[in-house]
Amino acid sequence: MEMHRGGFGVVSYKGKGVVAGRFRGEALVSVKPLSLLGGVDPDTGVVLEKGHDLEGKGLAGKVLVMLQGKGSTVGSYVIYSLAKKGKAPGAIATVKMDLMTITGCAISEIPLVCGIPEEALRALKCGDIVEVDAFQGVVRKLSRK
Amino acid sequence: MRLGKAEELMLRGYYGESCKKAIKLILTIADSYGCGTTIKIRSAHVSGVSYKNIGDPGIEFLKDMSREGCKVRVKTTMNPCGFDLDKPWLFDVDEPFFKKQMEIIELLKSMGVEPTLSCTPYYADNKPRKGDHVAWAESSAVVYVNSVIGAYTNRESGPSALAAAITGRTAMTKEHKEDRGPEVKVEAPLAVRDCADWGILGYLIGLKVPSQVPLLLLRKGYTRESLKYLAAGLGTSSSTSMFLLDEVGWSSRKLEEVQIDQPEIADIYDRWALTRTPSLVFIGCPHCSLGELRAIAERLRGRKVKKDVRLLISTSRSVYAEAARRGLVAAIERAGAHLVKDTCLVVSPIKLSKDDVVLTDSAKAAHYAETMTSSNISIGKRWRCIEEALGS
Repeated sequence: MEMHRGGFGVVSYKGKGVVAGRFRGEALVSVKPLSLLGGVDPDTGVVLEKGHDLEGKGLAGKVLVMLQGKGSTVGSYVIYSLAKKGKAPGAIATVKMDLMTITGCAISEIPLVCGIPEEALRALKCGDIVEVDAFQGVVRKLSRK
Repeated sequence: MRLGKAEELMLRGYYGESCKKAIKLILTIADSYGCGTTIKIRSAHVSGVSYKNIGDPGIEFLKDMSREGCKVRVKTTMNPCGFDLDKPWLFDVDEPFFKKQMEIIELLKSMGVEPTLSCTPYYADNKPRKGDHVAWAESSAVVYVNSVIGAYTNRESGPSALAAAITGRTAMTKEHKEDRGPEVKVEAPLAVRDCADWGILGYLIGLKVPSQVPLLLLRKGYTRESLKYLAAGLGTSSSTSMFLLDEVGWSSRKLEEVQIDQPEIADIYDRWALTRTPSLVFIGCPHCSLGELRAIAERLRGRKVKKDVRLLISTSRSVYAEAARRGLVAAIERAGAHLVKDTCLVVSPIKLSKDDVVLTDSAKAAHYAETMTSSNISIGKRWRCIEEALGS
């Protein structure tokens, strides 16, 4: 994993660093907008939303790569709650901007990159090891599942 | 980013640590949207009031923000909390929940936020005018004030609305620009009449158009109430902050087109169909207006709610007071229904088991109740909901 860093063959997706930080971990990739309130168990970080492509998966310590957040404006508090309980994603990368995710990450100090190209959602797979580098506004795919 | 004098002082901590945190959040948002500037606001409305939703971490956050006597700079109202402050027993509230909920309300009050506890503050408590720039959270209210009232607001999150209230400004995004226009055309010339239909229509539009601003081509005959339900449905399934109606010649614009047909509405009723007699019927998501309460009272006249059914109707404290003056509260309760304020089904800790069958006329309430409780949820038209609750 280490040797790929910055070398040839590392695929990266450019976005905009919104909340500073860097985190490396297993990716959870979703093409559907996620409702944080109601859609995620605030105690365990497991996705509850019926029919969602991440239903049943735990967000804790993962890199959440998604289209965007949706639904309730209380979603930011759900991210904050998860962070305080150690159940939040380690970093988040989104295709579209949404204020719930930005606020949630900002008050919880979770690295966030927004505006990555939509093709990243097809190219990255759940379980891939990826790095979110919000200092440079980049998501790097380090190794395949 | 170029900062104004006030912003710079806030950033330097001149107005205290909480205000510094608040302006930092607003500037982070402004920066991420690439607008690089903020705009002064006339009012704010904060969500994230129920203890059920924000929990202990939320309380810690509010404690942090309210330290050093930090106050809001503009008129600011509160979204619903976990129970009716005058009838907590209706919502299975235990003592710890009660105390924590009151703590949240007290923390917000200490910052100068008015305890309106409603998702429809625009009826009486906090009335933006056309053209006002405001910072509102609560997705249904955001869509309503942008689309129906013609004010300007971002789709603020709970904490960002509070930060905007504290600093008196918010991020100047495209939502605050005068030329905000439609991005997609939605043709839905359907025969929708009932408020449940309108909520479902909004919900369907949001599923098809998850983030763009839709121009809605609707059949005439809608009211502000219909649009309230449409806004609530749209806010649930999408991240959009507004819709536009074909009133200023937008339809001549060339845009991507999306269609919604009558059978799709029927599909939603099928998906959330009533299978057994309901044990709880819930009306008032978003909170009912005075006109709605009048119509409900009329419908309940001379009737009685069945013994084993709870009929809950929710509204805001202000509308409740007005309804009481006009005898509507007494009329509704005489039938055995509960007219409640300050809360709703979704944000209350009301205990619902697998055996409970909940019937509501709101797609928003059904969507959230389905994932947040273990009971059977169904959607019905308003008068069907009420008839199901009534015995004779």
